[in-house]
Amino acid sequence: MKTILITGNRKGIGRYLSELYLEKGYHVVGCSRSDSDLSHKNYTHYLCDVKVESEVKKTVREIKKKNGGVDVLINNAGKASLNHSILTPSETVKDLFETNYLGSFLFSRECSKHMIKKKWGRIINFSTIAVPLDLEGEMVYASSKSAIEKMSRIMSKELSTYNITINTIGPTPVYTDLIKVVPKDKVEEIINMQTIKRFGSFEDISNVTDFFISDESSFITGQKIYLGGL
Amino acid sequence: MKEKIKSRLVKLLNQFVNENEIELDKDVVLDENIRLIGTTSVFDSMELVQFIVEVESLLDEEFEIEIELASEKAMSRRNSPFISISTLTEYIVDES
Repeated sequence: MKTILITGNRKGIGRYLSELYLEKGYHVVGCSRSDSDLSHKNYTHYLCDVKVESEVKKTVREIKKKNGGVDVLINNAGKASLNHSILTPSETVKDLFETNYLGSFLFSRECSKHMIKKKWGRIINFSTIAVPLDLEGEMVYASSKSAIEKMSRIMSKELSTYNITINTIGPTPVYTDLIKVVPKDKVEEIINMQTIKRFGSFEDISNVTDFFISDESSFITGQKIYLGGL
Repeated sequence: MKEKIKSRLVKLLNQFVNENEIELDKDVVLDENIRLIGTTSVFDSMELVQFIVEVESLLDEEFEIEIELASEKAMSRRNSPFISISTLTEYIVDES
């Protein structure tokens, strides 16, 4: 049974993906800063702040001891913030880069160590359509996600010889807590920039994650797929 | 403890070279002084990365030593700990 680790899975997209992959027969491991009410015989939850290196290392070490390592990593944990660049506090920049970029990096690095030994692994990172759209007001959020895209591209090259693929999905707005911080008119503006003008669904996302993690996708790495036709 | 770690790492090195079918010159002896980095290294850069991962894992599993070998501290040392199994063992013992 393959083990799939989904970060930031207490709610929203992470929760949906956790339930989906439990249904598909994976052993699912999740982590968040607070407890989860997800209960399943094949589910394990860890308390972990993705931006704290010692907590990430401890979590991955525990998973290795219990499940023999992570086969699939989905770096879903993320934070958003909207503000004009001139009005953005440095703490916000630091916080978003630590949660979005550093968190994805730490989990990718630690999980890769075991994937290298197994000579097999799948890593999926989360970007956003705010990156190609260069949305005003989303400078910090989009920059942190842009850094994730670059990390994915370079790590995919460094780890390709171990049959580890690293790909990125860039969702459109989806009804989650994260989108609640974005004003309605702003969300509409974003949707109108998409080729297909609608909200994304959880199923739109799992369609891409299913593709990236499948055995047949061993030749797909360093790629990014934006939803909505961007 | 130091000798035990060193001897185990030499064994790991031999296993690693065999399993990964790394080609060596005929007269090369894989002991604690063989070069792990540099132009005369037995490894290329990716093999070294993989070997470091194996060493970290072995230390955790067999000696209960949790150490990050590719740390800022290790990388910034005047004398790299990755020169040989001997220097690596010294570093591990110092840091654990």
